[in-house]
Amino acid sequence: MSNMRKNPNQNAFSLIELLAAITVLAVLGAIVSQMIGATNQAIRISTSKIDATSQARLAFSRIERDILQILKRDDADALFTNATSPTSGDEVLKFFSAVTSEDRAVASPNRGMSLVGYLVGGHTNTGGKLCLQRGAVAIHYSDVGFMGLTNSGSPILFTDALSSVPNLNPVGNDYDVLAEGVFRVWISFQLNPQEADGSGNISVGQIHTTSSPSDRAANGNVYVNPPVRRPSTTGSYFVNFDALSSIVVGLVAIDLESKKLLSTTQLDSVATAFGNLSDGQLPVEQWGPIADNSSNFTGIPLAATKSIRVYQRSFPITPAWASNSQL
Amino acid sequence: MGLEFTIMIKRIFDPNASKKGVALVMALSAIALMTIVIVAFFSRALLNRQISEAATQNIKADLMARAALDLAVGQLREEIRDGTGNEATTTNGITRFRPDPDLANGDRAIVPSVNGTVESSAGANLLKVSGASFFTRAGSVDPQTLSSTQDTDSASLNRRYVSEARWYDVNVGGAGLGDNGGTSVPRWNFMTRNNGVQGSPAIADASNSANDDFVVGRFAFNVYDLSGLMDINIGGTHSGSVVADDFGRKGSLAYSDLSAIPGITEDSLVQWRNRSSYTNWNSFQAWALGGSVSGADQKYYNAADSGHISIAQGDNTFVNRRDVVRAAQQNQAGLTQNALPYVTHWSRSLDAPTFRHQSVSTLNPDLSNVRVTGSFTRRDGTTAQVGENLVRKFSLSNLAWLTYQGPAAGASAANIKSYFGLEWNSTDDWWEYTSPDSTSVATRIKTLDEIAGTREPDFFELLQAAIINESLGQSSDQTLASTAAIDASSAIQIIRIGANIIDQYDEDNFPSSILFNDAGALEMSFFGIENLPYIEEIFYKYYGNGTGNGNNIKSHFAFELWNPHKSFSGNAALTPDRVRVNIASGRFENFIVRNNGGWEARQITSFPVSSGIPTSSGGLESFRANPRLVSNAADSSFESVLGYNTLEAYDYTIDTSVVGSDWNRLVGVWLNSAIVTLEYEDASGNWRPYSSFAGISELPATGFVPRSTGSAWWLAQRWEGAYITGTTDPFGLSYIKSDPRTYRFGTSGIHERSWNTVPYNDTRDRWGRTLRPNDGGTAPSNSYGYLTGYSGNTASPKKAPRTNFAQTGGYYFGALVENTAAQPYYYEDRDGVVRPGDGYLGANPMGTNTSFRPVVLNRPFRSVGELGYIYRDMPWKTLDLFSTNSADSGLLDVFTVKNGDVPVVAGKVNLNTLHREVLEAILTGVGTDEDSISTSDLDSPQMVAQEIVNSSSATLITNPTDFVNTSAGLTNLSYTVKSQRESAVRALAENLSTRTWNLFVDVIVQTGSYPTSAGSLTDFSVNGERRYWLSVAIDRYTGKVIDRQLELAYE
Repeated sequence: MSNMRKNPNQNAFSLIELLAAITVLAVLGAIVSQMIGATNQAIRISTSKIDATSQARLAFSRIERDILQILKRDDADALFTNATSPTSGDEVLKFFSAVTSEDRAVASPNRGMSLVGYLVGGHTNTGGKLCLQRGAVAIHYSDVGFMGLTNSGSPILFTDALSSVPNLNPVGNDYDVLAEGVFRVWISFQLNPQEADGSGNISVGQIHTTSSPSDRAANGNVYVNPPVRRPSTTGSYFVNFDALSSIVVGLVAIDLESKKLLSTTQLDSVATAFGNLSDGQLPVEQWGPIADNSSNFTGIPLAATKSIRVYQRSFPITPAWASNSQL
Repeated sequence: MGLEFTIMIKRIFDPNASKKGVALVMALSAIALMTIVIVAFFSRALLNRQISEAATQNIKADLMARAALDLAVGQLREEIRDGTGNEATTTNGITRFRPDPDLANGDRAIVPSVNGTVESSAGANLLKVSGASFFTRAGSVDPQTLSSTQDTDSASLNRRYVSEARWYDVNVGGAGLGDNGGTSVPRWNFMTRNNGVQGSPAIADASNSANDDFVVGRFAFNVYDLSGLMDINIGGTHSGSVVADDFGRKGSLAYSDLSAIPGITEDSLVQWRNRSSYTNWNSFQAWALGGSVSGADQKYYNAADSGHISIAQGDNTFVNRRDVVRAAQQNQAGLTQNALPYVTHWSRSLDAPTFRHQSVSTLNPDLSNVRVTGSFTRRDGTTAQVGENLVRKFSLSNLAWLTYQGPAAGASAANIKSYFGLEWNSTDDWWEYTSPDSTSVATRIKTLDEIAGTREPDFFELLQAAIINESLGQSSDQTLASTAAIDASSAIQIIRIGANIIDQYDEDNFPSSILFNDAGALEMSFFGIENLPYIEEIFYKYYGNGTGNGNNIKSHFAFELWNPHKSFSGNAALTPDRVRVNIASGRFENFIVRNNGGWEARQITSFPVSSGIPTSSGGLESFRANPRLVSNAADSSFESVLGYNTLEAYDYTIDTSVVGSDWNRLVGVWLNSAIVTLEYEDASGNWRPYSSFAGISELPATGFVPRSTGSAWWLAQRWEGAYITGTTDPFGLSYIKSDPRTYRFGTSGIHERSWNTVPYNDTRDRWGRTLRPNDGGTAPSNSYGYLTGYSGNTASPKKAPRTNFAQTGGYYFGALVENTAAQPYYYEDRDGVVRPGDGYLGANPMGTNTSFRPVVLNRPFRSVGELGYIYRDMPWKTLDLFSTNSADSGLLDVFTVKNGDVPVVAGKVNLNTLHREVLEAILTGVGTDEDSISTSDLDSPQMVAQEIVNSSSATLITNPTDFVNTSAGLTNLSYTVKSQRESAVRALAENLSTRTWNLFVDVIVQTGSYPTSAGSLTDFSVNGERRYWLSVAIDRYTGKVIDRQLELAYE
């Protein structure tokens, strides 16, 4: 107080000083802010990538375990297909697998088998937004009548009246969210190269596709439809596991924070931007450039488009060292 | 607090206070903020990396596990490749390794070896345990060195280990539920960065990331042999639905009695497994036997035609080992844990023959080494590659395509041509064997090497390849035997055996006819044996007015018919209503009169008119009978037994101007150049021949007449009639075959003494000697005469010199029933082996006990073992599936009742199994007597099973047919009836295999590394782990993996 009284003018900041100080502080603040912002941006991008990757890994890990234990039997139905559209909510994989799932309230012990299914569709837990869902129902020793060949040589279908095993209902509550950030799935099928005959085509019509039932070259190529068999010259086609080398699964994922930026409609439009693939095309090869170019997503927040990632993984069905062709 | 805050505010705005602090605080705040954000980011990134690392380790573990399985399978295949005595032959890069049972000179066995780490007290199924090399070198291949001392139950650096209990929870061991002798566990092998798999790397190298031996993971395994276990996805029948007769005929692993195996409640198992198909027997039969049974249920439930790889509609199946273990642990599906050492859910066998005769020849090749020499399309549409094995099993169910009236409804003529080499001649109503390659009647049956570049073998070619050729084509070397040329053709005998198989399989009693042209010199039809009467004997008999040398001496030819089989079976509507003996051509030769030392022919002057007129050539219908009335009973009154009845009598009058009363003159009548056939009447009223009588001919050069249109069977024959040596004691002559079903070895002429004034007057008009079982109550009987096949030389039949047919010694017609070297009369086959007749154990198939008689099934075969019912076209011999010298056992390895176009099948048990219980389950309940199949269970299945185990333990069985040839399991059976003794073969034949290894590999892999501070191999740091169970089937003969099932082992 005594100093104020003694020399009040000399101790005060001049306006210029104050402005200079403010300017310096502003610059410093801006620099720091930019640094923090840039760091946050980098972290956010990395985090979104990590989150998206985690979503994909979660999906792949679960799919791997299920496919690894798949019942590769002609007398067990299997659904290997792609959805009619990215937003249709169709089941894309459904098969029996020797994996344990949550028990139902039944007296019979759990066999450690399940009917497993996958689809991409809206779910109540995600506000109706697209996500990868997995359904699984446990099979017990009391559950019988769901396997075998019918009189036409076809497997008993999932929907067959003989089945006493609850089916998975894609529009019911049978499916749970597996990977909320995964909103597009594509499945391709690599044929067993050892199934090829000398001409490059499969002999005796063992390899067909459901869409075009004609012989296909099977020298390890990838097709959008699975190899199938048909018990007779007429009737339906069924998955031919013997000719299937691996299943190639492609996923499009987004981190959950970015997903919040998108409405259901916007997410649908993003999913639709990743169109269907053709024979010989792989997901990352085809969808990767789409994800990298934000201009493909009109009307979508840039922050969200930057977070879209494409993943791909192959799941072997037939070990390479063993094949019936060695007979 | 308030004072301090005030002071602080004042300092901030105090112009005299230091201004440096503000910037510092702000800078520190910014730094702190950024640090927090960055730390949070890196923390998250680190966590994510750890997750990624964990996922990576899992992937690495998965890859390593598969690599370990590759190594295990590779070493198993190397074990097959080892062995200098393997007789390895390579064609077009495909090698065949033939196991040699003597295990000398570095041979490798038919079964995989037990490696050194398996303790002697281990269970029967435990084969190899990691810690030692897979096998000990016996020949030229070194196993991978995998010796290790690191037990898997020792804790790692981060306290990871695999306990003994965990290892053996798979429960496929022996009495100790898989325990390797109590405390022993598998040992770790190490995967190194650049040096492959090491058993015990130096710790300094293993922990040095720069060293090639740097360890990146470790694995351990157990290998079990499941080849001898019961496949419970197939074995077992529900007691509530079983039809005992069908069960007793066996033919499928499903018809096992699982009560022989501990820990199984069979009904519960089947009720769960065959949830849909067990509800009625028809559906269960369809499931168990497939196409070999008919009925509407067949198409719904047939799993057998897939080799039981697939299951029936609505049925269930154990999908993997864990499924079985879980069920047993929870007492589900009829299983308890006691059953686990004896059962498997997965069995695969390459259903291709490996039969090899001791003496390999072009006709009887080593079936495991008949290679495809030129690429062609197999019948199933696959491509046969050069070098691969040509022969696959032939399904006897294809016989359903054939009927005696041509192709069955719906059967493809093209398939019949391809599978059987037969074409139907609708003009003459017979099959023609053309082979698949021609449209003309074949002149021979091709050998396998002739067709190996163009197609698969047909039915007859396989018969020829499987039956020891030196056991066929036995014939008399006597010129009097007019059939010698036919008998000497092994190809003809093959055709006949084939026809017999066809007619056993079909449900009718109409014999099938197959035209064949052996060597292009003789085109004849050959007929399958049905449950019909056959001409056993021709008897020329005469009678007169009481003086014997006066006028009106009358005579007749009588034809004895005999159906030697068990009681008539089959659908009456599918059996001929009538049969007749027909002299289709030839003539009654004149009386031959001896006139002062010379011979003079005189015409027969009169004939009866009762039933046809015997003209000078042809046109004599001699006898008609309803074959269904023909009795097999040992009836002493031949008049009442139609089968033994005589035929029409033909009277004639001797020209007394020539004969006069000179008693010393001989009188005879010949049926000269005649074709005597036994014929049946078909639905259209046409008479069709199916058998003939042949034998002695003095005119062998004219013994055969060229075929002309309309006749199916050709064999000219002259039979001398009778001669009179005295007024009251004339001789007649009978001609008897050794077996009514064949004329092999010709006929024996026998002097008869019978005289009566009125035909059929009393028992004196019976044949004096016959094969009939009522002949003195015993058969064979002795008589006078001579056997056309006798020989003082070395040719066959041997050991039957003329002197033994002298009146003092007599000849036992039935001696060939036994045909052993202990008998006074027997013959050797062309290879010098004396192969026994069906009755050699004492049960005479033509004796008074009708239960010993041959059987005509008239139904589809239930088991390839039922080929033992097939007549072999030799006196009293059916195909031999019961003696150590069997020439026919190869058939068991070539044919099957299952769909032969399925190369890999489930449900075969390795004959070298150590589990008596499994074999006992298969044997239990097999019927020994076709007529009472449900009440004639095999007496001692446990004894038979134990003997098989004992036998294979002493000397490994290399081929399923060795079961017959070594008589393993048959030695102490008390049965003397061939068909009863063969019941064990019928039970086992469809269910045995020796060529495929069914192994189960339990592998655990841990990824990780050794820290640089590691002091020993125990200090491994585990990052990831994966356990796999691999069921793998490896063909012992090629080393090829024929199938596998990989199972992620959840615990």
